[in-house]
Amino acid sequence: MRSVITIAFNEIKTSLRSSSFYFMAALFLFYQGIVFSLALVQRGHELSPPGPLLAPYFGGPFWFWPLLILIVVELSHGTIVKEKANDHLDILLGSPTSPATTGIGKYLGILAIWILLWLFTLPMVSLFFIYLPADTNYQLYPLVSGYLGTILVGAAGLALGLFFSTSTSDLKLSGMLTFTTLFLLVLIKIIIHPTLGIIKSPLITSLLQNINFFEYMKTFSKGIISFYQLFVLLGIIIIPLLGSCLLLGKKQLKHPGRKLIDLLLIFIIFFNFVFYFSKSDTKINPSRNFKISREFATAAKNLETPVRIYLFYSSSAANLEFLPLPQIREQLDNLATKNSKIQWEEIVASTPSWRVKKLAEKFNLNLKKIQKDSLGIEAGKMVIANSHTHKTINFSDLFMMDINNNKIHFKALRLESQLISAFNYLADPKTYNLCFSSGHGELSINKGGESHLERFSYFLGKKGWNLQTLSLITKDKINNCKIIAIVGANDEFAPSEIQNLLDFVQQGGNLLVFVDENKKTSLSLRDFLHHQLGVKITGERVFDQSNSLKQSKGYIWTAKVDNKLINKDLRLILRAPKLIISNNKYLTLLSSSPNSHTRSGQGFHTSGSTRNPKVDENYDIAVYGMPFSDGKGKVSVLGFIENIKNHNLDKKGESMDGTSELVATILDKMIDKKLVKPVNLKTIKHYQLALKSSSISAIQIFSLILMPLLFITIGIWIGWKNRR
Amino acid sequence: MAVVVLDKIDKSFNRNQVLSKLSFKIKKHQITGLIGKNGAGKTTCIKIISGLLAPDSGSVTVLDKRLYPHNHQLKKEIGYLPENNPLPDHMRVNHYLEFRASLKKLKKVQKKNAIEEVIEILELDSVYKTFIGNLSTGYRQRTGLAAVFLGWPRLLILDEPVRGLDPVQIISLRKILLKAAEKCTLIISSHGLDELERITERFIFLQNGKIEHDGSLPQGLSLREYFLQREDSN
Repeated sequence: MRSVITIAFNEIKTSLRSSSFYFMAALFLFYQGIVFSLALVQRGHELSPPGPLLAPYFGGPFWFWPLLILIVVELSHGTIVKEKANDHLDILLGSPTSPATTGIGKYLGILAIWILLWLFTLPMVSLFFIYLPADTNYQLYPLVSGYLGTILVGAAGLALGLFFSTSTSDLKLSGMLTFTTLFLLVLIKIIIHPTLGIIKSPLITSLLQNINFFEYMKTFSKGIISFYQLFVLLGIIIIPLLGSCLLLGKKQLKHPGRKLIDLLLIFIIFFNFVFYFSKSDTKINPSRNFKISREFATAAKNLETPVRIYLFYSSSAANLEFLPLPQIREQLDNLATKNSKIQWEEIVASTPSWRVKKLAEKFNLNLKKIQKDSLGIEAGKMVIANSHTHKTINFSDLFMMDINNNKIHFKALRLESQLISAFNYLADPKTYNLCFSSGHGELSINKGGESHLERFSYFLGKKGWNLQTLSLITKDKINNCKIIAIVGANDEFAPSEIQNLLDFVQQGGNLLVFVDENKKTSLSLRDFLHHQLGVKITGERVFDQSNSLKQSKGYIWTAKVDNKLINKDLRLILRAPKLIISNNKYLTLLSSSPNSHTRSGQGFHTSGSTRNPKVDENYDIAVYGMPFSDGKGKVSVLGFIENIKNHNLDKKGESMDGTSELVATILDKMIDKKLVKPVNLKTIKHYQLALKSSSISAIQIFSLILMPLLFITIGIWIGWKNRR
Repeated sequence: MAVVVLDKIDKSFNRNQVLSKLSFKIKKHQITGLIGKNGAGKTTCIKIISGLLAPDSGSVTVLDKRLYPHNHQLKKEIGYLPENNPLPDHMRVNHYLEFRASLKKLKKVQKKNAIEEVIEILELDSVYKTFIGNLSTGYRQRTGLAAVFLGWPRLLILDEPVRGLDPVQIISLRKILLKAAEKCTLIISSHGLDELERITERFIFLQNGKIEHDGSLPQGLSLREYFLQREDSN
């Protein structure tokens, strides 16, 4: 061990006493300064990619590696070959140490120099943290793992360089071999690229992906330390190192061939390990902090047959890097690791193979639409399939996001909830009848005009509901209905219809009423709800400036769904909904704030001063029904219809504010369908730095000019001192 | 007591037999000259005795211990100066000697004393902090020898120690080697036959990997004459 340290220290001292080391460090720091500055610019971008604050600094982009490879080559390629050239190797091998000591000592020496180069970047990173606004939320461990990753990845490159340096006698050849090998690893990314790549075989692609240790930086930079990746990296470090030691000592062995066979066996075992994990899709849990929710565990446990999750998306989308795909991958990896019944794979639709086409056909997906998706998430699908059936979920449903001025800000990932929903569906794929009343001024589910519900009904159909229209509420017609929905009824119901509705609810049927904000609700319906069910639809509308998204003339009103019922963390954007009052046996679904006020006709009903208007009571504006009387039926009354009209929904019936999802959830709740609770809503952090331009300039001047200049100066000084 | 025992050593490179059934013993404090024309197997023989090159067959015993396979600790007792005296030009003399002393696993005090001693013996005081690349040939040779002498290994193997030295330097080196022989056993391979004759008491003449002659010179012949005579007879 002492000799190893002696050789390593000699290597370090030799470097530190050489001016060329400081010039190399200056170049390294200049380049790192550029990478760091670009990372800051990216973090200042509106679509700053999700992930830890300094993740973009550690090896994200392609151009991160070329210079670092050159430095790894420079550090390693001459380590042994130069010693061979001047016969100094005989001095080392002739000393009372083993060849392995020489090899390991040399390796540790160059590794220490590599680490030292990275340590030189710490002042730059520290300066950044000094300028960081005090309220910035960040974690330090991704920074630590990022540094660890760069050191390990470099260590692997250095081990390969050392091996080539030992196995050849030509300095240039050693350098070329090291550079070519490392650069080929970088090129793997292009070779296996779904669009540009030449390799299409999933197995080879997966294998190459696993071997390409430069790509590991994507996980290291996010604070994830994967045992699998550590294993591969250590393998890539140890095997060439063993090879180097063997080559160094081969002249001292009577039968070097036997040792070579041992090394070959180690390599074959290692390669098989990598191959196995490439083939099996099973990756060792990359996240030590990942906890599976009880709901997910239960849903997964109830799976009778294994499920396979397919992510279909277009890789041509330029925005892919900005999308939370890595988060989805990471979470799927974690979930698959926790449950052996779950496997997942990504299907890139850009250049579909025969298998991809077959899969798309099987799952009824429009591949062309996915290919054309420029954003990457508009048409992307997640398909959860078992041997019998499947469920398709839109990518857009996997995220919570805000869209403002055509810019998307991802807030959270709700993958787990969606998977539970899908698992429940796979376990019980039957459909229920959702009957929409008609003939009383209701909106139509079949009409495509602005003020109708065609898009919304399409959305519900996708959710598994069998939609029907009731021309008249008669007993025989409503017998098959699980839920009756009345949307914006303004005309009167016949007394027999009211009686049938009452019987329906009393016998366990469910009723969902949407009230038109702008029109009077049918008197007979109001009376029925008020006197029979205890829900009063008032003539007033709620304006809530305290919850207002914009305190504009329109009083766009936002509210969070009551978290006692279901915390979907969806924000509804309502334009002054109808005031609805209920008795205590109902749960409040949406409530106004104490500062809200109501308006009926021309005037406002407020209490207190006009500066601080308050309503007399804490009014409900929508209610969610508890079981009615002794029966099992449930009643929900919602004080709005604007949000579910065609003109407020996209073609798929989805609303930007999540109203469609909310209604679907309420419907599920009403039929006691296993409700998908918002489990493990994974927050997606977008670090958008608001650094002052002066701070950015200071960091740039320090990292791009001062640090490199300092090292150039030291280099010149050392060179002058060492002049012969 | 035999410091070195070679027993039926065979060594070949790419089917080219370099040493064939080579056997000899070297006694303690003996100065042995290894001579022969180029390709005779001198350097191979020296590398085998130094622990750098394993023979294909046969055994090598140094100080009653087998050198192969893997007796790296035994190398502590062997000082080897390669043919062209490889030295790192970018290091200063003092740094290089410290490095070599550390490789020999000398303890801190031992290291200091050993360095001071070789500096004194080889008169390196004036160039102690000079870059090796800036040294004259003589001083380079002395630095190489100083590194070999560190800690006084019991067997010194010197391959062409007088190469490139002027007559004055050679005389100086002769004194040094004779002094070293008081402490160690020396094996010297050299083409400097005249000089070798002055300090060597036993000659092993190698021809095609075999010993042609082992012992002192025949009466009345100088080493050079003897060498030429052998060459003519072959």
